Amino acid sequence: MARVATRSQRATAADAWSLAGRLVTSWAFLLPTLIFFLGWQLYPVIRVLWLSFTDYHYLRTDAPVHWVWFQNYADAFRDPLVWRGLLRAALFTALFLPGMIFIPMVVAVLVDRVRNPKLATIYRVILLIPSMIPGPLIFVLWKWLYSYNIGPINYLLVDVLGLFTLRNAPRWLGDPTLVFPSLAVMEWWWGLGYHTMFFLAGLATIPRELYDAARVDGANEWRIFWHITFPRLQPILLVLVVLRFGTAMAVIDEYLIMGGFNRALPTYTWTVYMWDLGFQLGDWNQSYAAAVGWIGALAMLIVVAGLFWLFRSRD
Amino acid sequence: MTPFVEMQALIEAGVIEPWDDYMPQEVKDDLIPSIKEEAMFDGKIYNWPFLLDVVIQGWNKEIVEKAGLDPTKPPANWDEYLANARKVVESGAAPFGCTFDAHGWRSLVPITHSISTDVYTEEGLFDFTSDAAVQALEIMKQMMELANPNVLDPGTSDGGVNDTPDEGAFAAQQVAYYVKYQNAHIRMAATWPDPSQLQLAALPQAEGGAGATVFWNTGAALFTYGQNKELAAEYMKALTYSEDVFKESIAGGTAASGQLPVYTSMWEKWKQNRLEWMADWAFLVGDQLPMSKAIRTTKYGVTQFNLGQPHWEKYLKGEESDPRKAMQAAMDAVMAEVQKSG
Repeated sequence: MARVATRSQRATAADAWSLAGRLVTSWAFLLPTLIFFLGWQLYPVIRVLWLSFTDYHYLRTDAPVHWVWFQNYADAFRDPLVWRGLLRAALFTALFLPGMIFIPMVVAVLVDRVRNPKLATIYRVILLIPSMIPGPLIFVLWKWLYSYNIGPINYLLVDVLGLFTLRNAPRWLGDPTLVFPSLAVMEWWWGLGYHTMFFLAGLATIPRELYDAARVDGANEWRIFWHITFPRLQPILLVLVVLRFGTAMAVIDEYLIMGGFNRALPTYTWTVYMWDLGFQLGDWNQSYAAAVGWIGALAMLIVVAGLFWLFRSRD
Repeated sequence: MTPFVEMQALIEAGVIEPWDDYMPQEVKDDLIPSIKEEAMFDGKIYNWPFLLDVVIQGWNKEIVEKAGLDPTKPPANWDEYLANARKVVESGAAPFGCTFDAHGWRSLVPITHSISTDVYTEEGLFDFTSDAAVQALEIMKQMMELANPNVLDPGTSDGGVNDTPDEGAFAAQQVAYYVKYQNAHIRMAATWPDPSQLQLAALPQAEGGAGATVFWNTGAALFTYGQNKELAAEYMKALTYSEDVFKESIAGGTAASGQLPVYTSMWEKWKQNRLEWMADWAFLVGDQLPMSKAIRTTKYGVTQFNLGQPHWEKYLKGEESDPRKAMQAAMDAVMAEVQKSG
């Protein structure tokens, strides 16, 4: 019995060491992700939440910070610029999102039909080129294309086709009615290849037999798309709609670079207002900017929840 | 660092300290008084001035000549400026007569300063409601009628501040006369087939006005937690007194930046012994400096113009017929933000 007990004790000790070893290894692998998650994701969110309940101004270095409860939120709810800014962002999103989703979907369906492997690869590479270009270069390229005085688009419209004169040519980035469509087209071009790849991946999972069977049953291509392709691309659609809704509502780089801080411009959205408040105006009222940011984030989360409900599984 | 843009914020954030203990007394005494005033905050020098931008006028000699005007003679006042610009359009020499940068500190303020420099409130804010500012807005309205139609559009880089429509029009040789800081004229003319067609001169004056303009310096700030501060001061002194730097800046052809020296002694020396590379325009602009003024350093140095612009632009766009009402709305918008943001 004594020998059995000793063997059992030895086994328990070995198990304990093995468990400890596994724990150490697991935590060692987990630690970088944990540090990243806590330090780079969770902490800023909590910090901004805390700021939004205070009267913290970055440049009031000697002034004590007070807890003001919901004062910043109450002020923000009464601030017409917050609502106007959210509405402007929503307008851009409404323009941007359909093109950003449906154009790549159609392109993916077309590319998916190319049976020559070399040609199919060439199409994919060409489509991906814009997404390989860094943002600043995209902006430089498109602001030149859109330039009123020296851009090739207006050159074509004014000098070549004679459809406009230098006095009434389209102000692509300056006209309040044109700036959002112009930016949306730029974004569509930029994201076309990247989003097409998502849909191509989705299309690859659809069994070919379904198409063959449908064709044998006499379904035309339009019906095949709506009844076979489209429903099976819905998971991809959900991911893209949610991702791109978030990025469209929160666009700031394009507006900051091309729009400026004139509050009458459509590009002065809630994100630009937040930046203006937090890093430019007066004493840099970052507590109020944080409240504006949280209101925007909550508004977006509500819409995202609605999107999840809309795209819920009906199986 | 440009004082009216960011100096106060950097001071309040505690990241810069005054140069006073490191800048030699003879250098302090040598700074052009209006430039020294710009470099100071609370009686201390926080900015070692270096790259001096002055809002001036420039024109395309070829277009002006084509319009039947004397291309060597700058318009002396705003009436002449507008008459010349109108003649350019009417003669068909160019599609547009004149242009300007719609950002307030690059057009509204310099034109105002040409009328009066006494246009700041006790807190240092630009007084949009002053008679001079209202008169400047009326001049801008007349300029706008002769300008490229996109003149009020934002720029397409750096927060809408740069790559502005005026630059595009001047570079494309679609406009004759142009009000902006000298670097813009030089950069845009560098794209012309013949950049020597560029002419520069001091800003036109207003009849009976102050005859001033606006300038700003992009200078050096001294970081509080920096090191080798004595060496930094020695370097800045050598750099800002270097004739080679200004030779390249003024006469460097298409590589010139147009920035001018900030010391009285350098200007006096050049006037007494004119160097062969020195351009006439530099003296014309230099002569306007002593009476000119920088925008006052406040926390709203630049942002006051962002806040006011949507309101004064209503007058320029014809949405408001009374310039005084438009300017009052601009002032109200600034004051509302001052009260809100501190």
